[in-house]
Amino acid sequence: MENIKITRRGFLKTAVAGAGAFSLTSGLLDFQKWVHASAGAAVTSVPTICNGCGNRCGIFAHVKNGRLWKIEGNPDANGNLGVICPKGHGYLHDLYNPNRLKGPLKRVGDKFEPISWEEAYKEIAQKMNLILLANGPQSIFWVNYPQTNHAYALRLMHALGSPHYFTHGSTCFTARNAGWATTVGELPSNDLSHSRYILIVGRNPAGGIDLGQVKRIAEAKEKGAKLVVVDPRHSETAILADEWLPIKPGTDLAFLLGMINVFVKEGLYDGRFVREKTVGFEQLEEEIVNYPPEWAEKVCEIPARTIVQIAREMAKAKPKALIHRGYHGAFGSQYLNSFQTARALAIANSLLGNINREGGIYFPQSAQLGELQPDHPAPDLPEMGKADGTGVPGRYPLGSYGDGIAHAIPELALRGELKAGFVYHNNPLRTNPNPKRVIAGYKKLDLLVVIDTVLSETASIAHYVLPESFYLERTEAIDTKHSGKRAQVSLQQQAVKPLFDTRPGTQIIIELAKHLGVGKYFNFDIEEANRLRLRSLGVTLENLKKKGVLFVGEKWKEGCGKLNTPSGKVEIHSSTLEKLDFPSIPRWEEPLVSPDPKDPQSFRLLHGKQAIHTHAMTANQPYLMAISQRYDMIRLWMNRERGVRLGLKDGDWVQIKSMVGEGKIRVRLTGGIHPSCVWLPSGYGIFSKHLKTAFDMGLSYNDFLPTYFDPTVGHAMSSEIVVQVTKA
Amino acid sequence: MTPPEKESLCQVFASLFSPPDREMERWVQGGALYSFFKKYTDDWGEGEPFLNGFLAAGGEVGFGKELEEAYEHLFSDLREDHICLVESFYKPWTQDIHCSLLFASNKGLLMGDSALHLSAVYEQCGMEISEEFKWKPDHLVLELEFLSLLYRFKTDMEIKAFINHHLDWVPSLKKEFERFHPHRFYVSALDILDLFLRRERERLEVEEHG
Repeated sequence: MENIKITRRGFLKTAVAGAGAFSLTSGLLDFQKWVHASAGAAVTSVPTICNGCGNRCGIFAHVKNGRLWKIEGNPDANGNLGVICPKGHGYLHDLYNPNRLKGPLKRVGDKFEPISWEEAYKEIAQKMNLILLANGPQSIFWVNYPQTNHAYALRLMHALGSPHYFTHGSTCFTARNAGWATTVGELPSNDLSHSRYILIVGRNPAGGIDLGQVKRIAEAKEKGAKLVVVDPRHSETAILADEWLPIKPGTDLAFLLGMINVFVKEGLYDGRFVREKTVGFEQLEEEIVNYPPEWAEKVCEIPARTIVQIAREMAKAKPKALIHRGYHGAFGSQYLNSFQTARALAIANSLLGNINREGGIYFPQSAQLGELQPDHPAPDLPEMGKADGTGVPGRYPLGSYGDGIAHAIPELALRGELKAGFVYHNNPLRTNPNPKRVIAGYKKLDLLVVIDTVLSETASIAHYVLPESFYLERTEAIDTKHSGKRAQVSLQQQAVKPLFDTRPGTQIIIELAKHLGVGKYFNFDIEEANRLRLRSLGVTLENLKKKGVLFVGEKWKEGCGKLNTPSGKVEIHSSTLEKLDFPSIPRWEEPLVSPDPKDPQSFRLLHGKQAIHTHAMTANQPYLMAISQRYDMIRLWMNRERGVRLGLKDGDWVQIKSMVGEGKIRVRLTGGIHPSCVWLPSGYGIFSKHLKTAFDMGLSYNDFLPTYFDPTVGHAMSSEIVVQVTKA
Repeated sequence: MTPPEKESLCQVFASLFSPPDREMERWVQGGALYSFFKKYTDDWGEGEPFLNGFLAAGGEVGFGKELEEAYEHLFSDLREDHICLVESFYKPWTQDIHCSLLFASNKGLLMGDSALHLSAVYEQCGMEISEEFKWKPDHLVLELEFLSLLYRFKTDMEIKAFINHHLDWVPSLKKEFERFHPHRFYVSALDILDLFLRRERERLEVEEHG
């Protein structure tokens, strides 16, 4: 019988053998003494930016004994003004989460196996180059939720000859952006803190949280401003409002047309601004007679007298009165009429003469980051257009070429037009409509590489998973996200050492480029690139590293100059739209689908954020999920009276069914929602078993949403869902 | 048991909780592991049940593969649910009362105080952690390897401090095992480790206080 004789090498290695080498200070092994001593260690503070959502708030990461110890808001950051939200605090848990990705993975059969970075890069490059050779550069794509380094992802796609860089925009904001751009030339901001009258249509900054905006609304209210919220649901922002108007969902356009009618009919608009700074007012006068408040009341179910009252009050407060520019909710990408809703909203603001005025809508100062050229020449722009049809007449002519239509990727993959792709900081399997279709599309790809920190739904079906370092472990590209009335530049920088074998996103992009044979466009590292891009702004990288956020450039000045539209003015009438055969003046357009008013089980399904979750990214954070559970937040909101008619009690389980999906969830009966709709909080419905905290908790609206493309912009029309709700 | 025997025992324990290799397969199939532990369990007045995992496995064809699969099933962090062999996971993340992080006193995380403490200890002893354990200095295998060195180089005082402060989470690990219906080999391995640590604690207590 063999004796036990250990031959394996230990995992704890001694440099020198013998007792002499094994020296231990007396008492060091006493854990409690060490705890006491280490509590007095010095704390260092590293300015950086949060990654808990897309707002990228400025924070200070305090580090003690090499570990994160505390975070605080950076008061200089224009976007959050020194405040941090629950998501920012809750997301920190992932830094020390044992379920994070710890190294690169390769799919072998139905399992993942560890692989070295070098091998992963080699194999990915080999497969990608074969795909490029056989199918051309138009067959590959990159999709991400925009990060500070998105310019390098775009550069990589262009270096490879592909036009296919996508963001999540088509499921979020592209209708809003296109509406504003067509009307005033760009997406403006809201000067909330100086406004005397704030009307918010659908946007919920206290839920889809924007800390700077919430603070500025509070500031305005303290100075006496009135806040009116138009929303089918009594949202977190409605709680702050002086008036909440529960509009029938999908009819915001009718409400705005009714208001414009009052402005015009009663001569409440800013005549001088209209004369000097707009085109097409005459055509508007002709069209708007069709939409008196009494008509609007029938469509949107807000009383005509209320519409008149709000229009008059806003006119009285003008130009320090504004209708919030909006985001995702109501018209970001929700309905067939979202683009025209955004246009009507921009026009209503213009009639108030508030464009680029204090207390109104303003164009934020922008920090123009320098280029990497001439030190590092950029690749040529790809010759072919995007396969999704953005910017192409006859397809989605007003779609955002820069954002693309990300939810078209599965369709393009199923048609064989896309063969390989990179998914970075994004989880389309959970955040795109109609997951069965999305899964089928992404699974059809010959090569799918996912860059993430956890095994999300999308990462779970990838061929390769490249683990990105947690945001506090990496320095990234400089950013101008915080620009407002004065431009700001900010920096995400490493606060703690990476725990695992992970790498920063930009480094991964650069290394992929080198292995893919386009390294000549990436002969720099993030330090050099940041320095080069700051050159034109008159600030140093050293100073930015110290402060985290710096003001750059001139202060904002009031006054509406030449706009970035074909006429240089506010385009109430759009010649661009006329040429494309779209309505050149906003006119009423019904939503694509509507619930059957005679059917007690028929509802429109709406969705929206709660202040503690971001898309699908934060649901797996234990503290945030604990809040969801503690306050019973994972429920479907339904109008109490309609619920009672269905025989439901608060908290009952209900079955939701649409033409593409079904699921069960508990119901919240409330007077705080329009009777025609139900509302599902977003961010839940996680089906990756690797996300243990969030797995199988709640539902996602995407489970019920068919794959739609709005004909103007190509957005997802994600509130065009009619569902049947029954007691489960 | 003599200190060299305990040193050797701890090395074997460390091997049991390391990814299984051919050597481990041979130890089990040849009966060496069973015999090795039988001597001690007899001394401790404990019987066969503790050794079942080693006895039943002996001589089985393909046991190496079975052991590899069992290890992967229980401990691989590529699995959706697995057992974590790291001390920090079972203890509050920090005892620093000034730490204002939400999870400061939470369990279930990595790089807790125990990891930091052991990193400092290893550093002072001139020891380096191999790459695969870099992020888990308080992994059971490293703790057992370190305990083995304490038996070689240090006195009961240091051994007692280490067992009491850093191997006191083994009962929590046993509870975690119950969720997974582990392979009998690992049940035996953990039961005997727990038994050894309990015996040592009793001995050290008696020797200190008489």
